[in-house]
Amino acid sequence: MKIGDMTAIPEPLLEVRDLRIAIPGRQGEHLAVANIGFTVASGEILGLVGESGSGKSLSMLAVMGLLPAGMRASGSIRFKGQEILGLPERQMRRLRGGRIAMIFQDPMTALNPVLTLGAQIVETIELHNPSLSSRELRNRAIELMELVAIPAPDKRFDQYPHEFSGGMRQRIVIAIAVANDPDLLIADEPTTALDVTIQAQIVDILNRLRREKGVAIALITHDLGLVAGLADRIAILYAGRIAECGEIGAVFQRPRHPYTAGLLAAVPSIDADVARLYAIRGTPPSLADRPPGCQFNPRCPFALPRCAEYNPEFRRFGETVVACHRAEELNLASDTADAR
Amino acid sequence: MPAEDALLKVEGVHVEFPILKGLVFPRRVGSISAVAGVSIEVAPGETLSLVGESGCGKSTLARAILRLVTASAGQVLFKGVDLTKLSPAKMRPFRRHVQLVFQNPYASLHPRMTAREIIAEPLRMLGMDRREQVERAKQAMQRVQLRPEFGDRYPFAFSGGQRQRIGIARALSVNPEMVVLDEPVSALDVSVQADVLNLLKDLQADLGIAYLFIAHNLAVVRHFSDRVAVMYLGKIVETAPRDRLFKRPAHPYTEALLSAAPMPDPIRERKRQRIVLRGEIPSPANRPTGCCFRTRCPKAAAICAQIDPPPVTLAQGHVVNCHFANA
Repeated sequence: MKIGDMTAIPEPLLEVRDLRIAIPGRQGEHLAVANIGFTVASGEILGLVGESGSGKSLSMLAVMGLLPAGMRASGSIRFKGQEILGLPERQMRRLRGGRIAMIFQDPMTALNPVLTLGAQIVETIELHNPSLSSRELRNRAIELMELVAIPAPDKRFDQYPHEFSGGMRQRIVIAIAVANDPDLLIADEPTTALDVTIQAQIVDILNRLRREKGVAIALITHDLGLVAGLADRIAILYAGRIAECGEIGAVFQRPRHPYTAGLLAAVPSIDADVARLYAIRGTPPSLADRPPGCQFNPRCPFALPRCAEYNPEFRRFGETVVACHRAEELNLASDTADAR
Repeated sequence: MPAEDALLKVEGVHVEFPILKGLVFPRRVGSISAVAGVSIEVAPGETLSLVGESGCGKSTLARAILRLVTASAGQVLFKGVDLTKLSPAKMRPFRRHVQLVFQNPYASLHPRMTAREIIAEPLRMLGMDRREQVERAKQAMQRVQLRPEFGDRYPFAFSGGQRQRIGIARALSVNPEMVVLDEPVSALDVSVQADVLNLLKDLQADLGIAYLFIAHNLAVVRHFSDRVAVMYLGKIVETAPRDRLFKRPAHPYTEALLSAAPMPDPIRERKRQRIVLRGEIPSPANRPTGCCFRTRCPKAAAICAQIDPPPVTLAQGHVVNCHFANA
């Protein structure tokens, strides 16, 4: 069974299937993304969670057609039913910044320091709407700045990035991303570089974009708290594969994959005491040194011999899909506590 | 906590950085007060956390304590000796008692020194002979659960969590009484963070080290600290024992911070009421009059612009600077 077959929605906005991304290395290619599939429905927020090197950012760069030179992607990425993996650059460019847009992690480097913020927003609108007059462009840019709650936008329009704080720059990055009313917004760690109180403001803006504009969001993050507050569904990635994917409440309440359960137990809570945090032993495998079988087996407290032999198929449990050989027998909520 | 017991006592410390203008003949046109009159105490063996957002001065305060920047006013008393008055030569013996672990284990280890050389460097600075350096470095590695035979490897051969262990071993090699931990886990992956936090707690239990823990992740702070001091724009706005601070925050800023901290629980995360603060932290070059938080405070009134709120003690060890603190 493939993970892409799982959703009940007839035609998802974005459908990624059997995605593989190979990085050339000295001793042949390494599969940074070994097999990833997921869907995003219109107006839905999907959280893609994983540690560094899990392949979450690469997968979304592949969706944007922005993989670094030398990397090869295979499989299928369909956007509104159209295959976009391997689309010629000319056509891809029409989608990018138009129907599909992206917010980057670091607002300090995502903006051009020598252009005014207004000019950078206008540039994106103009690229996809060449017939607009400069007055129309300016008005549209100011509307966007209002949408992301920038105070005094007509004054701010002519300012440069260095005159803005990190939180304000991230709002401009979001304004640029939604300039052409995209159907899908890819947000790569949109709040990681920001402070807690500013994070809360950005979360509000993302929620409002979904509510008022019906934008679907693929939210890439390692912050389980952020996903818990925003996403409808969550996909947990580990070493280039999907470990578990499902409705957010179901996954948090009853994790089926030992890695998911481990992650949830490893995070301290703001309102509960634990004497000792649960630590997943070992470290994620390096790209050149991926284990056979289930990628998590060397670190898994529940691993059996077969886990190191072959990779588990996806199996469905109600609202979630899991790749674990022992998914039905384990009761992870209590078993993880015992392993502590 | 009575003052005699304090290992570290910081009193009214100010740190100012000049704002210079002119390329050829720079002249001072103003100053930024990064730390504006901070007093804290750390007892032997306890963990005090300094919490605040970027730019609040928490790292600068730590650097002033270690004399990596110069305090422009105030005292830093370590076991009763004022470190701010010591000459660099007299300061050196104190350095072994107060060590520092940096945030980013990818940047804070010299790439061309082996793990053993990195860990032994503070010992070399103390003038210890080579054989003893090697022996002590080996002990420090065992203490942080790194295999001593990896001592000949260079930092690139270690994972992020292992590198942070090297940073911790370096701090521990001189048997300090206090370690300043500047965001020690925020650059690490979630599954590795837990491991490093557990290690730090074990070391404290075994060796009785005091920690000054600088962090912005409140869940980690709650797990890790005995007492918490909340910093905003160069000032401490609230100090309290851990449980008290998380159960009954008295300062509106602390309340907002707690309400904004994301919780990994979809049901409660969606139900709870967030206090979303308006605006951003003002520039420390241009501090608001009166209370430093008033420009973003939901409770601000006329008095807040006029009078900087004095510290009020609400309970044993719970001190807050606010005209309208929650009782």
